[in-house]
Amino acid sequence: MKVKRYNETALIKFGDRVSPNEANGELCAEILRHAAHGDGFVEFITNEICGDNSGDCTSGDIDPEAWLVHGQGIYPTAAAFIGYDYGVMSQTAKLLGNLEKRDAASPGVWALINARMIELGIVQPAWFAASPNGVARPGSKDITAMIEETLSLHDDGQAKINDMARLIVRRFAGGYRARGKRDMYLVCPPARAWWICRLAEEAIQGLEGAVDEIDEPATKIADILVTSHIWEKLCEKFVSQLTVTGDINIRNGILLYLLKREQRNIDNAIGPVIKRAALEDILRRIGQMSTWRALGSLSAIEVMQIIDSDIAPYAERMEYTLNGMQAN
Amino acid sequence: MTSRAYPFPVLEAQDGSSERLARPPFMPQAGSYYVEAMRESDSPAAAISVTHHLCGNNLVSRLLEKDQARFGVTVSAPETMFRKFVPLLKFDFVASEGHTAMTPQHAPLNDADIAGTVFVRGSVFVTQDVDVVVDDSCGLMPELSGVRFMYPKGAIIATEEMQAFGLGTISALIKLVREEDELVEGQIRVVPDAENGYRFRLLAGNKLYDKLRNADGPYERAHVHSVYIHALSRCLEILREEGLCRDKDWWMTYASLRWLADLIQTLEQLHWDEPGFNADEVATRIRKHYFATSYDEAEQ
Repeated sequence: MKVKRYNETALIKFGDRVSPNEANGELCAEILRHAAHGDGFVEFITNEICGDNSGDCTSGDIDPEAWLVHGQGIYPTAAAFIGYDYGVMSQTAKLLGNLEKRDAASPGVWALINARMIELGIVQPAWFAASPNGVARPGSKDITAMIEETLSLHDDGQAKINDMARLIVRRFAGGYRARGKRDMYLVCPPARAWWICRLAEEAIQGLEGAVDEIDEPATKIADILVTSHIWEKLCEKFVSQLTVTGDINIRNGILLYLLKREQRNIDNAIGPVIKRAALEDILRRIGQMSTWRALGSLSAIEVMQIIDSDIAPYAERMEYTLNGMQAN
Repeated sequence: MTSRAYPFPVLEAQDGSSERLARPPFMPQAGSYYVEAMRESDSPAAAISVTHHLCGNNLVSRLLEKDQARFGVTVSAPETMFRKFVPLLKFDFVASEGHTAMTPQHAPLNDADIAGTVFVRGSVFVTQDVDVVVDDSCGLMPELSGVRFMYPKGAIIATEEMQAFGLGTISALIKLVREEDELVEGQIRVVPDAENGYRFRLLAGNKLYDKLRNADGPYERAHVHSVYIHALSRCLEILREEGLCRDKDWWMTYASLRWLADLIQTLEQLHWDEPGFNADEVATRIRKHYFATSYDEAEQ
């Protein structure tokens, strides 16, 4: 039994039409107009995705609508929808608890879930345009006004119109040819929430007994995963071909290291939250080591000890240097 | 295939050699390690089935016999962020000519966790820190004699390249099998295999098998591609001859065939029952021949 989804080839082709090199200005403006007005957004997007297929290019047996009908009110604002609040994310994950990883890896499924959430009034189309980077402020009283302001720029602001339309399409899980499916895990809000919560849950089960001395380990592990640059880097590695960090023992070893480091470094010079470059270095070294060591054959605690003693010291030295440069 | 740098000796087979010679620092005659893997997509559940082949008497076979090492398989599916290392906890040496161990392993998977291409890599790893003093029985280069080193727990001591299996690819449909006795060199035969999920076996003689298995560079890969198109054409003929092509429910029973059924449905002007049905033409519409110089383009 497959979860209902948009045809992925059609979705990719739709994404191409708003991509930086091939953006169709008219289509982008039309996407914004429909997002601003709300009504008819799903019908419009579906027609644009499905094109010649008589407006229907979905397939599958289970319509996610059956799960989503219980989701009224879980996102009080656009900021809650697009944000990294673990409490909100776990509600999304709970709502979609019947989803299997096989289906949750499909952008077509997430695009249809977004469509159903809009149809059910759980989210507003305009929320897909809200951005922490200033295209439209999350928490802004009226994102619709921001979209209309962008639209009013007409030809002079075509690049801004295209950018905003692209953001909407990417959040909808539709713009991933250039970036691969990683875009879905990073940018599509419900997909990101579901995957973060699923991995946090697996970590908590896998680390049972290893985190007894830490207060509220579940919340702390989740907090680590929802740190945006950590999720971004881990995600990049999870979905790359080698996927070394996708192994549950290796992944849990990394999370345990980050957790212990947080406890240890709360007051010292390198700070509790690992820097992006340091995390990249650790993941790169784990990848190198895994060519000659079956890290997945070791327990999460053993992996954590190897990271702590053989791998992380290089990254920690880098962080001291980076902190020194910032201080100067 | 490129050779990797390891901090200590790892047994691998040399590229494209029917004799499966070892790479340095193992001596060529020390033997080799390689894996035959297949994806079982149907009953009773999805799984990867591998056979570990360890040839010759060497350091690896010695550590396996002393129970300081084990066979294992890494399975990963990047699309679902899945990766799992499955050790083979117990095994019996099944000796045959030229083999020290030929050991089957079954790695069960949960179909719900898997999407897209699945990657498989077999290996032998040590289960504890192991001190080694090199002597003649290790099969290592003579200049290493007397050298002492340590394999840390989990160290890989024998491995082979990652193999890819896609549910929606020809590799899920056609399994390459070495056939030393019945085929002369350069010959192939395609036969249906209904036992572990419906698929086909592409039987190939020794040298051709090695070439297909270890293709390196655009020209060799283009050759492999063409041989598989040839085999795919024969698969379509068999499905037609057996009358299986008309039974849609039957197709849907097997994951290895579903993608092909879906794909064929989308091809225009394909009429299984008409006398003009041309398996070669259909096969080359599913997978086109390409010239080696345009390999990168064809891959996209």
